[in-house]
Amino acid sequence: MHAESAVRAPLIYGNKTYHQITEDICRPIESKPTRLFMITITFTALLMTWGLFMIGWTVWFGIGEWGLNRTVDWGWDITNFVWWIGIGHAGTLISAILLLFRQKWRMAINRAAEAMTIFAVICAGLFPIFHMGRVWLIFYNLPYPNSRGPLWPNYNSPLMWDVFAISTYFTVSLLFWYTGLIPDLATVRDRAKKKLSKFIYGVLSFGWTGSAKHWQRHEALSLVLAGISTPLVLSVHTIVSFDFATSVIPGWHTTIFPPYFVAGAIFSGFAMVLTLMLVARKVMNLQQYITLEHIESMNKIIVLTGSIVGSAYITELFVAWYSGNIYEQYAFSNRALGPYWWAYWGMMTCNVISPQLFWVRSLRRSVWFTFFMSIIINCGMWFERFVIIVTSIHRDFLPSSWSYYTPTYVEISIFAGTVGLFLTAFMLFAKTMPVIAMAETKHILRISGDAQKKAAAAHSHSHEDLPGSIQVH
Amino acid sequence: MNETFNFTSRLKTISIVLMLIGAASLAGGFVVYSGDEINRVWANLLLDSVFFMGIGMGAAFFIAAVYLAWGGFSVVFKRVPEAISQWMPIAALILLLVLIAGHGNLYHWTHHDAMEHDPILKGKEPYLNLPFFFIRFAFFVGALVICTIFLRKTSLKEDTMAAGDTSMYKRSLVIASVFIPFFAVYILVTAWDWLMSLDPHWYSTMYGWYSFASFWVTSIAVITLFTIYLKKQGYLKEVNVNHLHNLGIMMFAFSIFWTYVTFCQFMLIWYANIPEETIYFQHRYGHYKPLFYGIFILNFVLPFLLLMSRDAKRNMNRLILVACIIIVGHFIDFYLMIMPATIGDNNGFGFLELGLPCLYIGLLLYVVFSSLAKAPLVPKNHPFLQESIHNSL
Repeated sequence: MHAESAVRAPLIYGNKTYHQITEDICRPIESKPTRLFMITITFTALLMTWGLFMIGWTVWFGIGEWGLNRTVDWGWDITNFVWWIGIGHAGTLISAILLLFRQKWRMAINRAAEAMTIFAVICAGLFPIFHMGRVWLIFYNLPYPNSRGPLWPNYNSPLMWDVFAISTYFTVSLLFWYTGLIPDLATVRDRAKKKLSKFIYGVLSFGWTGSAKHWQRHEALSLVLAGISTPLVLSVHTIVSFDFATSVIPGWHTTIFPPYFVAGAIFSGFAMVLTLMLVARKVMNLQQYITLEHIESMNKIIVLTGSIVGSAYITELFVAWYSGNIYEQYAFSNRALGPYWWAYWGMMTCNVISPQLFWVRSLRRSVWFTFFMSIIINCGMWFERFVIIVTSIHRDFLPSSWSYYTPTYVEISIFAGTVGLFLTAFMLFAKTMPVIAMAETKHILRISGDAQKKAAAAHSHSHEDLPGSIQVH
Repeated sequence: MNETFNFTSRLKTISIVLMLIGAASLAGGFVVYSGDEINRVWANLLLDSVFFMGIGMGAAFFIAAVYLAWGGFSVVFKRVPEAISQWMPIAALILLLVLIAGHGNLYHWTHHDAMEHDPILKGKEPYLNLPFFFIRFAFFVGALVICTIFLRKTSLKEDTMAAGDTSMYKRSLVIASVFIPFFAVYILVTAWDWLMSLDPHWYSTMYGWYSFASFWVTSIAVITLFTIYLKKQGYLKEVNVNHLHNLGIMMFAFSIFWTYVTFCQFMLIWYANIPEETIYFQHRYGHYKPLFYGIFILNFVLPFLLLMSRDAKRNMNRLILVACIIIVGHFIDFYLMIMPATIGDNNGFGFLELGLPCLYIGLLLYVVFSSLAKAPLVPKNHPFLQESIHNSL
């Protein structure tokens, strides 16, 4: 027996039956693409193509096409890399960690968030790869017995750990996402009318029949993958933070970096989930599945992780002063008051101050305000990485080599191109695959559906001993 | 559902005997140790006060965090962390007395001439000065004590409300949302003040979260022990193996969290190898080496292996064993934060180290058991009560 308190709002509205859930979620896949969809995806695909062209340009003419200089050797490239990797955190967090916390509201958003994770990690991976310059030597990163004599990757380097961490994370996230998709793809296959789509979804669903044995194996695999992904979510951004924190550069070398990077990553990941899902729920008519409850829960996570990040900023600032180390103190005063002051204050406003507005319940439940805030946070987290990377290194220990960095149009275009890639991939996913995990949503219908909750509340009133709760036998 | 705890005279005797043992060893400490050695008594007083304060504060945080997260699982044994949190104001008072009386022996920066001849310490004077030190104590601890008292009051009042009335639940949510921001700053500021400033030159941004991880997992272990004790005594009939499983998961997860922050702090300092930072571990490495490695075994390896399987988390005796390991391990962790900075290599494990905690344990038991006896063991009218009773994993 399972019980759910009456104070918890329903997670599925509109008196849904199991069949209606299938209908609602499959409809966007089965209907013809709208004009709006075609226009938007053309635009994002063009943007992506332009970015890819500029990547080709970089490979052809070299890294000199970027604005990097001798002092600032990490600029927009690594900023964008960390930004995208951070965005790629929400998916696995929702699937794995919210699963451990038994948060039922994750069902409505986990599929889309996982897909987003994968696309974001792809975008992220492009930056360090092409920042290498001679990209055709990328295989030097791989540890294998080679013909280059005793030349092995440097295992002491956190950059090397990053290669392993991110590729592992990508692999597991992909498996996790796809494993969850299999039963839903089979549903789409069974409903498909055209021969071709029946064939494609048939191949994609690996011959799923929905037998008890299939479900048993599916659940066992999901559990194992959830177990593996939980430490992975934490490890990826931890290791990204090591890229900076293992150094001796003031502003980079600080022990709080690992957990603070993880919190920041979750913060930005949820902001991106909100940006995408608030549009998707409107366009695809999913308001009854992605309810205000869901939005409010995500906003609570945003205010929590935003405050963790804020307390880390303040800790860093305080300890820089407290340390008595003049280089440390200068790094921080230079952040706030130096030539890149605008990035620092942009970061502080977007990440620390504005999310505090989510303490107000009505703002947490306002769709427009949430959408606006999600954009603000995406910008703020970009500023954060820019502040950490560029302002910490543009004035190094030798004042004669101090410099100022501005990106060139090539770097800006590559970044815009990854945004195009991300949106194109997400739209293709939303058009061809169920954006909401159908099978899992059906699991919670009996407990968290609005009609079911109402019926159970009425039922429990006849049982004096069970006040205000819903029971399912 | 209407069970109340009976604080038997046997339990009263046990806790009073423990208090007497502790008081005797404290008095013994002041007699035996004189001159420079007296610092050992003060260091132990600080260690026990901070450690046991953390247990109470962690329990209060448990309640507030569960409210804000809309957690339902813990309602049936909610009175346990509630009772432990009632110990926190008393622990705070003891800590305050220790700090007032012992700051000169404990904190190098409180000596005026030390500050004058040390430009680094001089630079920290706007923060490290006694009036501000006690103002911070009063502000953060005071705010949290008030919130804790109100959380308890509201919870007891909820029992007397009409069925289905959620007004007290909503009030608790408000109090919890005041508690949490204060707590977030409390864990940073008090870690800097009470512990990090023992090594006044040294600094680490992780330190606040590191010491929080330590007292928080200890607190969960203590909640688990009390819950199982009550269960074994025949109380808390609604608490079943699923609730214990949840507590087991929390001990497991936060042991890993502690390891994560501890290892990251250590690794980053080791890797960068900056003398101003490595000095902290230098002091904790030579003479303290067995303990330094020991805490990783006690606080990570053992909880990790012993609680790995599902069955282990559903086994009371296993949970008792791991909870005890965690409590001892984190006591040593705090020992390692305090002793090398205060008494250097003149440490030891004698009657004082073993006896003094008895004073705190006795007081803790007395306060917790008498708080448990004051109210029904299972809250009534809590909106998540049924969820908690039918909790399953």
